[in-house]
Amino acid sequence: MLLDRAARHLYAHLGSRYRFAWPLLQVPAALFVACGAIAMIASYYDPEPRQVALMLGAATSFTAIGVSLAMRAQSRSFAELMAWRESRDPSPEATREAWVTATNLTVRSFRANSLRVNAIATVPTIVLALIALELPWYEGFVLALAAFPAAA
Amino acid sequence: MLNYSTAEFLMRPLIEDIAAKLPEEFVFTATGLPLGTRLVISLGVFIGLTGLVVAALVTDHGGSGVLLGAIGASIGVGLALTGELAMMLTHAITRPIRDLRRALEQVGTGDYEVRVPVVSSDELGALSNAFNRMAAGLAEREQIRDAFGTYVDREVANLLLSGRFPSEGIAVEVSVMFCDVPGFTAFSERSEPERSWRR
Repeated sequence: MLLDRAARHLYAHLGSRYRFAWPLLQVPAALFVACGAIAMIASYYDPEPRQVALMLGAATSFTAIGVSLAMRAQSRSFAELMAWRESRDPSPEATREAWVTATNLTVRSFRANSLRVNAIATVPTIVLALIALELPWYEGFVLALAAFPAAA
Repeated sequence: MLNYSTAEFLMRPLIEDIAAKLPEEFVFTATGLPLGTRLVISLGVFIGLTGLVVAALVTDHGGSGVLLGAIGASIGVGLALTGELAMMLTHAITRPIRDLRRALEQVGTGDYEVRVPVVSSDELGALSNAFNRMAAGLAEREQIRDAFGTYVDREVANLLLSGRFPSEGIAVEVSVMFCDVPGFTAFSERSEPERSWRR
């Protein structure tokens, strides 16, 4: 699989800079989903290009902020893992701790950050979309429901 | 979910690296996101998004009313399909894994007669089949060890069967004790083999 091969290649060649592979891959993926969601929602309203541009700008900016904050929350764990990788002869205890950190980092981040990241990405975007599309406030709930699958 | 999956892919080479250096006495605890939960979330999201996109393509800028209708339809179809589909998929994947895990625990306690049913011809079926062959191999090895142990010391039998016995042999100092049962030769000459063995 392409992603698997790419991950192994980056891991072998980047050394301790491998931690940057996460934002390199996850931020564009999140932005792609955000843009898709805006395109989908916009298609229901027939907006002007400037309105679409405003919504896209808001969605991409707030999504990037949300994902970046989630990455920042993980930075200490990444630093620990990279320190383990750089150590020449890690102790069994350090290896055990590194394994627990590495195997739990993704699920811990998912549980701790998914709600916050989605709130940061969607709430301001929906408010700006309501203003851009000149919709009444209660239609924000419809937009929030429409954005939910993309956010998930 | 997309970010969760990409993060798992990125983490994989690092975890493999760490796992190769884990001590043997390492105690494993399962803390990851269960497969069933992942399937429910993924399927729900895909069905919901597909419904919304299809509705967007077939309706002509209908506004919030049409969007709300599309969301309702997506949620309805999603709830009806996701639960059942996710349950079937989860069952098909996790049940053979659960059977294998239980069987491996039994092998760990020394029960080499345990087998798992090979109920499919896919990767999980191949895994179950490989497990059964491994258990049969271990059982055969145990029988050989027992048979060997009747005639040679158990330590020697274990060394021979471990595969670590060098072809050039090992020089060791040993004490050998020969025993004889008084009158046994004469008894065995006039007895049937089965009777001699029982004696």
